[in-house]
Amino acid sequence: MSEQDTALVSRCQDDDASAFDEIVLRYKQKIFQYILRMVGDSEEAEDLTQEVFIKTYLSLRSFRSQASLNTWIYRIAGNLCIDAHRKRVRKDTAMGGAPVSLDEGVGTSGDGADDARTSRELPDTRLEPYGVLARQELDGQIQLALEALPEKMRSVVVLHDIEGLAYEEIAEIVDCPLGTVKSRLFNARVQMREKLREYLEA
Amino acid sequence: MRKNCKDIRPMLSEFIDGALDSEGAWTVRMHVSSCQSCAEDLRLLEGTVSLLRSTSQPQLSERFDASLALRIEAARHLREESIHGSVVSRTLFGLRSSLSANRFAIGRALRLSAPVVAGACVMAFLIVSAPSGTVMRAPKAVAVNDTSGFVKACQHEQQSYLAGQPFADPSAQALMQRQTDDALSREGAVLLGSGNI
Repeated sequence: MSEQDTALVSRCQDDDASAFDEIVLRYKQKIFQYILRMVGDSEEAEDLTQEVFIKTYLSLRSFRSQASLNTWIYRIAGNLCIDAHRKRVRKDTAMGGAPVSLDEGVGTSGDGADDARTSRELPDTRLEPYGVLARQELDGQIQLALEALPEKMRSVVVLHDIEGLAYEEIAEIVDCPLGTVKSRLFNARVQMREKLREYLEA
Repeated sequence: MRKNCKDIRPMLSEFIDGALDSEGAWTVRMHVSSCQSCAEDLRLLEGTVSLLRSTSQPQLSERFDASLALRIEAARHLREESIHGSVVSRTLFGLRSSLSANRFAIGRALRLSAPVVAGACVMAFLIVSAPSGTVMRAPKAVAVNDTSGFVKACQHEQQSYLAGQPFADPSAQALMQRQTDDALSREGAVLLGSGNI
């Protein structure tokens, strides 16, 4: 853990409220982006991001410096995303849909619920300038391609290519061997390449 | 050994990240320089990574901070309430911990005092149940000058006491009985002689 993180955690454990504010300030955008890429819904992502910080706040006293603060917070976020995914699966199953495992993409079953999700994720671009329109459309397509990935692959590719974390950090966050992280990343990139081929060849 | 496309493709992802060692990176570079298909794969894969890295940073809503502050405050209150609610159990736990911490000292003291306590118990038992004790509890109705009557009374007491003692060997029981009788006779005579009774 970096000296700065150690000092922050130590100040939090001494009930220094400003230290926790600093942690929130430092991580809120990154965690929100990670969760948003995982769950696809902005409102749910904000709610889950807040939950991450509540859990962090409540468990900071017992936090020991063996793990890095960075990977610890991402790990909390990852676990909350898995819980949210399971809740969604239970809800979908209760409503008569087919269950989707963590190894499958949410867009792979092609049922009506996914179509609704797709249309919700596509940005409304009618009143935007062309450059912004193109960017928003591309972002929308990237998000759709991400959502088509199995959850475990999506997590790795988001953490590496969007959040910029190292293989070792990701292995710690998703709790799997380094080799698995590399192979998941490769497979995720290949699948993303196929989904985004139209934009890559343009 | 020259690697084929099947071996090279899984290395492309790590090649893009600069995570291959120098030999691996050189192998990939050499292969893609002569293989059009893998070169195209690499180009598209690099483009994919580049697109992912360039995604727009989503913005949190304006109410995020205020809402988080409220939720954390609520969580803090809940935690404090649960801490105050468990003050009794914590006190008990503290007491138990303190006892637990001192258990070695307490155990040591008990071990050291055990022989003394055991000795005291044995002494008390002997005082209550010894033949002299039996003599002290001799029936008052017995005439002090009637030695044979006194001894008989004592013998009766002693036999009643001994009746509860199991003897596997009847000869051992008879021997014990004889010794007890002799002892009682002697002791009775001494006590009578000293005028203690």
